[in-house]
Amino acid sequence: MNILLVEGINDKYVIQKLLKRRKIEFDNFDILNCENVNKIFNVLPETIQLKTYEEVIGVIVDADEDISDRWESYMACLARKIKRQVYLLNG
Amino acid sequence: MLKSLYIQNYRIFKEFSIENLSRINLIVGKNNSGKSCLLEALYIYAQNASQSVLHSIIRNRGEEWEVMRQYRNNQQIEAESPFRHLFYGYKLPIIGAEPIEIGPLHNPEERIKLRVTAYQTIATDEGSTFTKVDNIELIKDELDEVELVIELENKDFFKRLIYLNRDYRRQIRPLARTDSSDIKFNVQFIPSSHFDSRQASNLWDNINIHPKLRNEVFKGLRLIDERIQEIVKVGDSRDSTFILIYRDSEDRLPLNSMGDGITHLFHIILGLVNARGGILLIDEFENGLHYEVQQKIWELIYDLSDLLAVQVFATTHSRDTISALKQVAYMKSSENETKFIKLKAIPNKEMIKPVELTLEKLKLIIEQGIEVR
Repeated sequence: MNILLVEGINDKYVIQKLLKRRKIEFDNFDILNCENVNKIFNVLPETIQLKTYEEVIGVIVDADEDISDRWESYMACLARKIKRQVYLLNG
Repeated sequence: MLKSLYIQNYRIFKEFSIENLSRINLIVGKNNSGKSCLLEALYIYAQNASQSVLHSIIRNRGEEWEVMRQYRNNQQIEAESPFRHLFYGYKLPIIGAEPIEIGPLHNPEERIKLRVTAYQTIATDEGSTFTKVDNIELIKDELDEVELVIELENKDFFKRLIYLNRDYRRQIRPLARTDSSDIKFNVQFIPSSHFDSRQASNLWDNINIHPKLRNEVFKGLRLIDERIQEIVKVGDSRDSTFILIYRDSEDRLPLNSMGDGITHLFHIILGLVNARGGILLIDEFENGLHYEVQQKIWELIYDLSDLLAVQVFATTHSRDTISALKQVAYMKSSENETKFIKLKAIPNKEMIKPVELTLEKLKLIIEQGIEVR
């Protein structure tokens, strides 16, 4: 099982539509609406640690201005909690 | 109350620890992730690894099949001792090494240890003595005269538990006998297959003489059927049956005929009340229980375990059980006395690791729809 965490119901629909149009199958993962970025980051470390989703845990967040400031501290916090290096890929 | 846990070399656990335990602990994990092993380890610890506990664990898992088969067929006993299954990798470790160790994480001196030791009968002027061989080098040539013993170390106290070279049946025959060193604190273990009728009968007798505790049992049974007035035991100790008596009715129905759920509930209450001041272990909490009843049973467990100072460890595969626990923990304002623990296997390292969640985190994760099991 894999999972993709998104920030809102619209994001979820957009991703679903996109996958459908591109004819990409997505039976093996759930897209989960977490409502906002804070909620995502609140549960992300534990979601990784629980290992229910063994292969991929994806996160899609809006790259608004205010998040970019906090992004690095989120990542540092995540790295500390899961005791792993976290790498950031800028798109 | 056990505040933390450390297990080493017991069955699937090479080395395992839980930092913080609570009064109520719910344990989840996939099959073969060590949930039952964890309960067994606690059981062994609470009873100071008494022979009867070790044997009951081996027997309930069917691990004595090979040796018993050879006895039945009058064959030479070639099977290794069934007690080897208790050790990591299901193999007896070499003499003196890699003991099973169970106890609190933070005070190692409180842990019990089980190790394979060598003993030798040494002839003296006054007869012979059975003596521990401290230097293994000395016995290499005369291995025949050496006996292997599983020995318990509990603080500075040593006790020979199992004589590995002797007849297995003799080893387990005197098991009914226990002594005071066999108990650290009260413990009750409700296996997924329920108590057998003799066990249930014994536990009931302990309760039956306390009117208040009896009432708690009746109250508990009414969670499933509020017409139940009381439960009585008929028959002798070897062959007893529990009968439910109903209010305003002539109905008298055997407990066994009422389905798994009510039997499971009855055994949970029996266990709880008999575990006063100690620990209650429940394997597969959801067994036969409808999800609406589960919440009521957690309520009962929170109330009674508080009243009787019982620490509870339950395992589950059920999402209903987890959300019922979450619900009740908040309802009773006991979220700080509740712990959620997931066991996960680390594939490449052959290790089991726990993920400990506070109730607050558990709540957040469940509310997001993320799978915790």
